[in-house]
This record gives sequence, structure tokens and C-alpha cells, in this order.
Amino acid sequence: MPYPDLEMDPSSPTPVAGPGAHCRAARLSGADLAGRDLRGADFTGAWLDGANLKGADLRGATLHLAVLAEADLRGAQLDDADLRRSNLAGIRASGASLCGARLYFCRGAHADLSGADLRGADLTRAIFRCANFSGADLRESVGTPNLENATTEGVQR
Amino acid sequence: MILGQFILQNLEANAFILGCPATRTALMIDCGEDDPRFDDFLRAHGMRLTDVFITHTHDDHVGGLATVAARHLPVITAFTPTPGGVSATRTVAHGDSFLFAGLAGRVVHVPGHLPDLVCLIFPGMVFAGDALFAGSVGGTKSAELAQQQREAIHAHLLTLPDDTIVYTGHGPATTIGIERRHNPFLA
Repeated sequence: MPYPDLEMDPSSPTPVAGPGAHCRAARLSGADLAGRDLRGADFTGAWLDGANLKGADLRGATLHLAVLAEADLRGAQLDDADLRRSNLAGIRASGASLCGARLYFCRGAHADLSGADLRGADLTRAIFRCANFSGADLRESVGTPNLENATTEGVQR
Repeated sequence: MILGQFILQNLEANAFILGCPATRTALMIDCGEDDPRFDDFLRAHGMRLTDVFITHTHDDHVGGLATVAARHLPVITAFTPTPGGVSATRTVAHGDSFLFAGLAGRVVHVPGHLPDLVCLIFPGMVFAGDALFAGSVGGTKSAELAQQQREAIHAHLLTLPDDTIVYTGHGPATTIGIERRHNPFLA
């Protein structure tokens, strides 16, 4: 069905986030979702800025166009997640697992991805100016992200 | 209000349709190509495209205007008189008001990326075109233009409340607060 990439209706109720949940364009700014099982959930265009997602299981979740800025993603599992065109500015994602994640065209100024596992991730056209990638594992990742003024000590490529 | 975001094939530019369920009217912000999903979206919501606002005249933002305008006959508002070779119904300048379905908007001029770039501010949100992106700003052809753009962003956009949502011409949405804290080009 042809449709917009994202449709936002502020009158829609905020959905309950759980495994496989449909949370498209949901307003979840600052929500406490730490440790939650959110595998395969659809957060397309959702507002998760400042959310606590520490240790959350977001494997295979769709976060296309989502705003995750300043979210706490430390130790979160984002393997095979769709993060295309997401806003990752200022996220804290040290030690997060992003194996095979799609980060095409995402924007992550000041993101902390130190020690993150990004093996096999798609970083095509991603921009991580001033981010911290120290000790991150980028082996077998695809694309060359813009890492202008980023910290890249100990990055494995 | 209902908002549809369309990522176009033309340089992956964003086009938006802001619809009012009460009046069944819709405003398009930029039109980089004539995407068949526009009319599907309008039909699905029973809305009529009555207005188009153009942020600037690069092809990825006006490339579809002629065909969309011919089909829907909207009121076209732009800074320049002939965006995309189409006659604007109304030209606007910095500080002009813009009313859509009872929503009071304001136009601000943010030159730099292009001399004719204007942003459309509604309460709680701004359509920024290619002036301000998540983590970046519009590309410019000289240091002087970059400085001009930077000053205009600081004067007219960063003065908005932190929770103002910024819908950008390319890429994800952001807020004024996020850009104030993290955009390396605005430090």
C-alpha cells in the first residue's frame, strides 16, 4: 500500500511498548524502558529522546526516522535493528550491541558509542561528528561514516 | 492536525503534508517531485490540497511543483515569484504571517544555503527546509554565506523554545534544544 514514510497524528494514544509493539510516531520522550523486551517493535518516527533504554532488547526493532537523541542505550541490544535516518545525537550507547544494524543516513553528533559492537553494521552516509567510538568494533561494517572530530582510539576495523 | 512525511527519490528530500481533519484541507511543504503517494494520502484522509509552501528553490524541493500545482490548483507561497518555474500566488518576506486552517504561522528568512530560503514556523514546530538539519546546517558556497546562515539560524530559529520540533529538508526530525546542545555547526 503506498503511504507516507511517516504519518503523525498527535491525537493518537500513546501505545504500550513491548515485543512486536506498534509504536509508530509514538511520543515516548523520557520514557523509562530500561531492560524491556522490545524485540521487533516498530518505533518508526517515534520520539524516544532522553528515554531510558539501558539494557533494553531492541533486536530487530524498527527505528527508522526515530528521534533517540540523548537516550540512554548503554548495554542495549540493537542487533539487526533498522536505525536508518534516525537522530542519535548525544546518545549514550557505550557497550551496546549493534551487529548488523542499519544506520544508513543516521545523525549522531556527540554520540557515545565507546566499546559498542558494530560488526556488520551499515554505516553508509551516517554522520557521527564529535562522537566517541573509542574501542568500538567496526569490523565488516559497510560504508564510511563521517567521523569528523570523533574519538576513534582503539577502533577495530 | 495530521502530518505525513514523504522521503522522495530526488536526493532523498523530505516533503510534508500537514492536514486539518476539521476543514479537510491540506498544506504541502516543499515538493521535490510528484510522488503518487501524495494523492493516496490526501484521498485516505478525505483532504484537499489547498496550499503549498516552498522553503527554497532547489530542484529537490520544487521539482514536482508544476505537476502538483496543475492537478490541485493550490495557493502557492514562496519567497521567490516563480519557484520551479511556477508563478507563486503569494510571495513572502521575513516576518510575514502565514495562516493555514486556523493555524497561525510565521515566515523567517534564513539565507545562506540559497538566498531565497525561508522557514515556516507554527506553534511548536518549524519546517526548516535546508537551513538546519539534525547535527548539521545547509551547505553554502562561501564562508561569508555560511556566516550569514549561522547568524540567521541563531537569530530566528535558536530563539524558539527548546521543545520546538524541527522538520528538516533531509533526514530525521529534531528539536531546537537538541540542536542547541549537539549541533557542531552552531557552537
